Amino acid sequence: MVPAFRLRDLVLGYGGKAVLESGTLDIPAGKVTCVIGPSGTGKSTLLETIGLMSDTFLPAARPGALFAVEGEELDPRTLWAAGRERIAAIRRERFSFIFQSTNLMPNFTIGENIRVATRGDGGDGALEERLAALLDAMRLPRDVLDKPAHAVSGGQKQRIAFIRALVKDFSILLADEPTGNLDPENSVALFSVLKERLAERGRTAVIVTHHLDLAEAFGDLVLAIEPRGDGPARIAVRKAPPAP
Amino acid sequence: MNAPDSTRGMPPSAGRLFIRREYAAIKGRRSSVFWALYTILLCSLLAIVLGKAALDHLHERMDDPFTTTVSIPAQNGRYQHRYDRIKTYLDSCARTGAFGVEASSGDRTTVWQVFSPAAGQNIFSYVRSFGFHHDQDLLARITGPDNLVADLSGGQLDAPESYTDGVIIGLPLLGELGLDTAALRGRKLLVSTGLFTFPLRVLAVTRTLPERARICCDHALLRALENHEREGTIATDNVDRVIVLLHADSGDIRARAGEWEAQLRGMIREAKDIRTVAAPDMATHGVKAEVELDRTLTFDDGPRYYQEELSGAHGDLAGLAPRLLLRMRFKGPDPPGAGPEDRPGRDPYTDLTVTFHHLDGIGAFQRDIFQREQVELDLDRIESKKNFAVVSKLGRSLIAALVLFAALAITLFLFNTLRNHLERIQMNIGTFLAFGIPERFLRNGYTRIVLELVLRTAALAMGTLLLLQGVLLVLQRSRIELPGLFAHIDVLGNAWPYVALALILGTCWLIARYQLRRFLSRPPGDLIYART
Repeated sequence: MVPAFRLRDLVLGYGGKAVLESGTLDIPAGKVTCVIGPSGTGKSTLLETIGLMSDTFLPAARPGALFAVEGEELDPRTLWAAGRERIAAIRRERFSFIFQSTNLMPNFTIGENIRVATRGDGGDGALEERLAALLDAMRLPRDVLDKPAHAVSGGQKQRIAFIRALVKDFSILLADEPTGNLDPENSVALFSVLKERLAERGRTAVIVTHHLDLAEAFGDLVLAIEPRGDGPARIAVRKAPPAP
Repeated sequence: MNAPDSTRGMPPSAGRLFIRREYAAIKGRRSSVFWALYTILLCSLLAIVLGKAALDHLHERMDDPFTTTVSIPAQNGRYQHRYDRIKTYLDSCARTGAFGVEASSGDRTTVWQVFSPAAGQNIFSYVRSFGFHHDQDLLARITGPDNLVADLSGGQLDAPESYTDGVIIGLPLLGELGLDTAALRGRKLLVSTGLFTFPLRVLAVTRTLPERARICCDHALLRALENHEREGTIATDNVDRVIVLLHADSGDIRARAGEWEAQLRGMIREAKDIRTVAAPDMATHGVKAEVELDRTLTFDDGPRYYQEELSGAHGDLAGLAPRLLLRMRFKGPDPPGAGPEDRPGRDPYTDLTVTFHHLDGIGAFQRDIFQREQVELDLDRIESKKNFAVVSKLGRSLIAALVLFAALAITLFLFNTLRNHLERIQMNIGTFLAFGIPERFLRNGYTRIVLELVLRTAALAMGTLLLLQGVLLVLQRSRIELPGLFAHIDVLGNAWPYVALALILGTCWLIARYQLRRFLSRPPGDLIYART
């Protein structure tokens, strides 16, 4: 099976400063990959890189450096310079996102936040069906869609961020500390629903978390970002998926 | 507003929803941004409109189109004996173009008594004459578009025959007569120079006339009234009927004709039959009595005697200001090249005039004519004209500065509003971008929001100004005294507010595009993680 991501000898960082070396890394498709590590070591950098959210590719990469999304090779030296439309199209067509700060527009209702992000026109029956099923799974009332975003609790917002991510058409979900603001019990519940939904649709997920136990429990592959003194951190496999 | 591509890349309903919500957010809590913008725009546009009104008011008061003409009172004791020398000097300047002199001419001045319907009596009016053929440039300035208020000649202002019995009057006289231009269309004024009255047509009403005259006419007409006996202006044939004009309302004829006829019979003893009818061709008298005489009378025994009697009338008849309408023999304007001084018996100009092409040479001309002919020129009006030119330029510059200031203030205000808003929601926008919402949609959407905000507030501000103009108009129509400045307030017919709005829209568009391009040039990751 073609991996969701292939990274070869990439050096990642910001403003010319290397933060992380990718080494040789394949993130399997259809699995949940969790990324753990201490704060500031480059977990989010890895997520930003593979989620095509920032140009973190540094020119220090070795010859033969490679980055591929679902088998499509993207030249890391020219990818961002070639224009944003192709990158935006890849994100739009293949990815979905959950962030620790839910980033819901406070002046929109919950429903409007979901419809604008998913570019739904309100007349898409399949989307409405998925939305209703997810609300039920997350134990949220249907009328929460009509509430302004500023009027719902932090926990509800976090669940809505999950719904916003899952209701969209995507093949890869990228999540950065998706349950960072929740208690362990609710975190487990959300991870369970997430894993179940991903498995149902055969989707890939890369989840950054600082909860080792959650990573161990729900991750098919667990990657650990290991700092190396003054140099860029590197990625180590902490738990590998069972051989097929 | 029609922005066809502002929702491109988004389903239309989601695009419209986003723009509607963000418009409301940028408009501010309780529309504070909207009202602040409205206030800035209203104050700016009001200042611009008032500035223009002040300039127009100043223009009306000070910008006399005849200021480039200088008069020399040639008939006063100081210059009378040097009339020919002065005239020769002026003609020579005009011929050679020395000191920027364009033309040399002259006018005759007098005072007529014009019957005022408002006052119910004659009022004295200062009259100046011109030569229809000789002073075409002056006539063109009198009836030029900047000075002409109403053309009542039926488009015949260029025809010499119009000036046979037609005059041009200024707005101040029109006001004193208590008439409006419509009341003068196709109707005549009654003018007296002594015992007799002359019915004259009004060809045009103008803002101002040369040397602050109230009436202007051709030399021949002025002469016809001043020297009517020598000129034969009034037909002196024997008469068997006369017409008496009465200052009364034609609507009262049925009720009061008997009373008026009885009064007239007491005055005109030879009256055989009197018929009282409306006088639709007169602007001053609404009624005329056609009196059949029982025998034919000479002019002296008939019209002259009756006019003397009517002039001395007292009681109710005096209140009707009776005037005898005589048969006139007006002549056409003097032929081309001829002036009053060329006529037999010599009829020199009252004032000699020179007209300058530009004002620069006037100072040198003033010194030269004093040295050569000991003529002292009064140039106060020319100084006023120069001052007006400076004030006018300054005023226009101030309005232009005000327009720029308004554009700058509004652009800065909106720049800050948009920047604060975008900074506040940068993580949300970054998330939307990560989800694949096109940058172009956001750029066009926010540009549309900014322009919509400006357009809506501008429409409301213009509406408020129009309302203000309407209120002032109502107050004016109610005869409430307002400062003259307010009479010139014109919102729709004034180009400056449109210039200001176009500039404001243009700069807002530019600045919004620049700001959004800069903001959206950051990748979604930088926005989501608030990385600068």
